[in-house]
Amino acid sequence: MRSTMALAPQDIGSHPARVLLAVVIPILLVLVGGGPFPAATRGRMARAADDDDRATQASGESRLSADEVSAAIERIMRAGPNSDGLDNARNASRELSRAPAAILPELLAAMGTANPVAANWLRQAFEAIAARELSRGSAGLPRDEILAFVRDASRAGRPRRLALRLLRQVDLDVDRPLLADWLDDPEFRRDAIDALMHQADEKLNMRAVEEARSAFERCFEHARHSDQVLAAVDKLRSLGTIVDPIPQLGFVHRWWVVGPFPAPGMSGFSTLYPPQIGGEAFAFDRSRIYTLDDGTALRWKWSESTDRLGEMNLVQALGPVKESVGFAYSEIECAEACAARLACSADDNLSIWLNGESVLAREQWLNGTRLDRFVVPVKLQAGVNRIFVKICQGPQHVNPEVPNNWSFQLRFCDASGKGIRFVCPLSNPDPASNK
Amino acid sequence: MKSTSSIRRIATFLLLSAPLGRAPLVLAENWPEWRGPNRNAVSSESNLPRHWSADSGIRWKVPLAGTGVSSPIVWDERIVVTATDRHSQEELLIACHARDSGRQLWLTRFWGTAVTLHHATKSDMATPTPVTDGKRIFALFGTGDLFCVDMDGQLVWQRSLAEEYGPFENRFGHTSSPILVGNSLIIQCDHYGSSYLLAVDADNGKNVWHQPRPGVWHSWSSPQIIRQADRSTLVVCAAERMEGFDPRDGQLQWIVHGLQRECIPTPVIGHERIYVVSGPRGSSFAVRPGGKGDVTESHVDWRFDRGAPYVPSAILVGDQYYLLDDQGIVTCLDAHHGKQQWRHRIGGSFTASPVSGGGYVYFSDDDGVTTVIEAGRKSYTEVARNTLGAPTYASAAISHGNLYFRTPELLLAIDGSQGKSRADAAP
Repeated sequence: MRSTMALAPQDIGSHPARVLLAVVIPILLVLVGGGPFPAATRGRMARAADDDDRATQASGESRLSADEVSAAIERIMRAGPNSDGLDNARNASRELSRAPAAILPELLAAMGTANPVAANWLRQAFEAIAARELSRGSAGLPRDEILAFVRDASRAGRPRRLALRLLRQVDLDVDRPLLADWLDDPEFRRDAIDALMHQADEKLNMRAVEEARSAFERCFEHARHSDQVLAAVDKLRSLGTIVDPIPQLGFVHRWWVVGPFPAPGMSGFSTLYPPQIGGEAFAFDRSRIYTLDDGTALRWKWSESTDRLGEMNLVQALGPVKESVGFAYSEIECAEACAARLACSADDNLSIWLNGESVLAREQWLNGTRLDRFVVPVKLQAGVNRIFVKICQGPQHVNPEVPNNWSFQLRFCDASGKGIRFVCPLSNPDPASNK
Repeated sequence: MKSTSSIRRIATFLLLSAPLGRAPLVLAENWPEWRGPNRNAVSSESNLPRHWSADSGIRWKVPLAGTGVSSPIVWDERIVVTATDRHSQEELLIACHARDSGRQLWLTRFWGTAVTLHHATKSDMATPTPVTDGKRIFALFGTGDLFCVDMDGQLVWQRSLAEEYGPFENRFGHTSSPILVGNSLIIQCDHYGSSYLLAVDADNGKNVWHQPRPGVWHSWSSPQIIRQADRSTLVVCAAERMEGFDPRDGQLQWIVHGLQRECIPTPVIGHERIYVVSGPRGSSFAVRPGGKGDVTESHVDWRFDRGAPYVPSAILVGDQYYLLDDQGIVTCLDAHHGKQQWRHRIGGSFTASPVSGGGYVYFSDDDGVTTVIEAGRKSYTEVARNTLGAPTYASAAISHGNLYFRTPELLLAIDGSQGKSRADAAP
């Protein structure tokens, strides 16, 4: 039974002649390309090339010219929605699957396509060639070219990782010397941080505290995944060094909040409330009082998240209510204008205005506040940026055991996930007032 | 291979059914999709294992190439499992193992289009169970990718539904398993984005029909089919409704209102009824299929208001309908009238749906403890409690005299033989 696995032990040929061919063929492939050899040698090379052709045919490989490879890749790239171009893509993938391993770098480059269907057709060819080559002992793999591809951070991440996996099947430690350079790599950052954390732990075990501290500090500085950031924070704290994940990841955690405004059923999202009307979002006035029909007076209250990742708990800030709407306002001050990513989440509905412009509105219930659930590109201006947030709270879940969550989380980061540098000019004017 | 196996199955069938002079016993039956050969989680096989433990009664146990919550499917000599990598969930795997040894025969890897949120343990990008017709394997992943491979793992066609219709948006991940109806593969995609039903040609993946479902909230239930000679009906449970569609064109035929907002279990078919679990703390229904438009008042035979599960699907075995809630309380109803016959707390937390065969019902909890009871009894009759020694969130498969479990790390075949506990015949 055939394998499409990159490493398929059951496919490994055991006949000595096959093993011999696996060694000889790659050498011959180099030789037939010409080079500084005398005529007699070239004669032997020609005979060897004939042998190689026969060996190639016997192995199920087929030679494709560079143009044929490019044409096959192009046919795959035209695979579209609704199985458009299916026959062409499938046939081209199978043609490429029979090509020599020399085409692997070209396949890797092509797999950077944004067309997910094409990428998978190309990958099938890549995996088939790789499995075949590994079964022969891997001598024919263009390792240097593949390694260069892995190291090229400008390439797409998935094919880089695929290439690395192939190389690791030949040499398990191939990436060990590379990890130290990958702390800011868009694809391998997480791997590099894991390795550095491991090294730091080893230093700690050896009581090399300052070396460990330095390594953990590097982890904290370079990590972008919240679990790794928090792990570094904890390690450093255990060594007496306090670092703050809030600015590192760009959370906004100081807010003025007001509510709860009544929102029967699930009506809050589409209902306009006084803080939304008359330009309130753009000219925040914390002295404003909103009087409800029952006479309740709602005032803006200062609230500061105590969560390590800046999650604002509105049940604590505004009350354990259901079928309600709350609003939050904050400001951040940037030294210069920049493009940023607004990453946010809420339980339940979430609407956000930045400098008076609506940048996100999601009517989703029973969400759970999950880090970076929504990410939208925004532009931050130099100076003060105003953030206005509306968070709806739905009815109690039908299961009374489901907790009555009402919260949101919001941060500004760059493409890597690092927090945008800003300061929050707001502060609690009367610390005693919220007690 | 298939024809030889088929002949063997038929021979076995005849040998066993002749001397008994009663309902034929089947030794070898495939388990080709979510909840088995008739999508009801009931196997026709007999002589199934009753007792096993972490170190006995296990025919083989092999590591899986990735993690996942989908159920294994079985066709002749092959067991197929979908999986994903543990961390990024961008890698999508279809693995084929030998049924007799567990040896991995092939593994095909793909990239997913758009990874979504998912549950910490009960779901991931490899939660929908694949389906096979014995010639091809169809696998849907939570990333919004649909693949068809042949029985040797070669890619036949693929669709990126996330690219074409928008990423799946689902906080617990997409769990609905596709169904094969004739030569159409039908997918239910109810999510925060634009929900739809989709039927694609099993030969090439092209759309047969695409039915948008504006305003339909997300659900996790899998579609079901009522196969009739003159006309089949596609049954879809969703938020606050169950609907019947014509599987040929996706046109709505009837609707039943009154389900809960969150719908996960898959309905089952039997006694000319559809048995529906409404959702947590909701009602369970028995509905006669047919009619036009809103048939809530006219076609609901009975309702039962206790014991409804949130995640596990219910099971119909003979004249009894078993509800297993997530906290391990089993409620057994008379399937014809919806009257409670007994109720028993097994205990534990449950995600996997129960399966049945050989006169037993198997309830597997999250800790890997499977409680075996006798089916058809007027009271709770426990046969065994078997500890697998590994968490179990995926529903089991039954085939060729074995139970097949998939844990986050392992694929296991349970034959009970080492435990000297194999049932000799159906009770």
